[in-house]
Amino acid sequence: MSPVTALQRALAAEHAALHVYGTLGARTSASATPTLFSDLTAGYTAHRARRDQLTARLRDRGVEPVAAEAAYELPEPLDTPAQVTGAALDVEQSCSATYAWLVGQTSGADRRWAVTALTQTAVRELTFRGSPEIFPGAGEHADR
Amino acid sequence: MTRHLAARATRRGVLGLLVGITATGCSLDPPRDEPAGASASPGAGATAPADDPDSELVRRVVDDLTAALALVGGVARAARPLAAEVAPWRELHAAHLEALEAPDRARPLRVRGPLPSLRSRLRREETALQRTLAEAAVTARSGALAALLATMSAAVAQRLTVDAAGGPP
Repeated sequence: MSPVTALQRALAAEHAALHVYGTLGARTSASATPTLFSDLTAGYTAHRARRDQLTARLRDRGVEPVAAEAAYELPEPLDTPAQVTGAALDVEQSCSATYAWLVGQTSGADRRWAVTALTQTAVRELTFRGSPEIFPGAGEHADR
Repeated sequence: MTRHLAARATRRGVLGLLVGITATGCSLDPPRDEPAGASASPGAGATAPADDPDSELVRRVVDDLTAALALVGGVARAARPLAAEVAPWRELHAAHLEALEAPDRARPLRVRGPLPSLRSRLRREETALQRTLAEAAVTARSGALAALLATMSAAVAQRLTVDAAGGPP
């Protein structure tokens, strides 16, 4: 797989993450659960920045970045703060896996960017009650 | 020996572990092959041990992890109240060494000082290790090894964050 294709897949992942985050924010009360709302807002902002950085990296190569899908399958149910928190954690863990994978698919500046993205995403997992892992981003092996 | 370990690290250790590094959660298909970094660096993961271009890198990472383990052991020995607190660090570094198929040869370092000083030293060294692992990930020839080192770096960053927050070990 070429680095460009890998970056496109990471961008597609960020589109999905942003969509989910938007939904999670919409299901969360800023007055009733201000900390969760703030955490979701921060997460959304971080993923939006990642999306924009990936988009710029692709455009710098003269490549048209993949667009977001019209719709995404959303986690369910999202009726309680705990469920929203769990869904946000799932998003972060999935994106950690994406960035760990991207590290292996790239080199140079792209890889350096992916390493940083992985680290920051793994740390953000902790915001949503994630536990420190032995290999964050390694899927079922993360807690090995 | 080191070359042999490094070569295995870029084959079995990495590939066995990184089967789990997929992108399924973001509506992506998991990669089916060795990460592309390896194809960009044909030597990694498929060469004889003596030809492994990452041997030296792995040796240095093993040395750094061993040094980190030695400090953790020394802190635990020097200050019993810290033994439980630093136990997760011991587990983390031991698991990372195991992933590189390197034996744990760390001997507890002789350290002394008040608890805040020991904590501070540990944090300083772990912060340096996190950066070293990240840099090693960037320079690895093998994509699979790079991913492994990056996830190790991320794990240290997570643990540093938890420690800074005073959370549970």
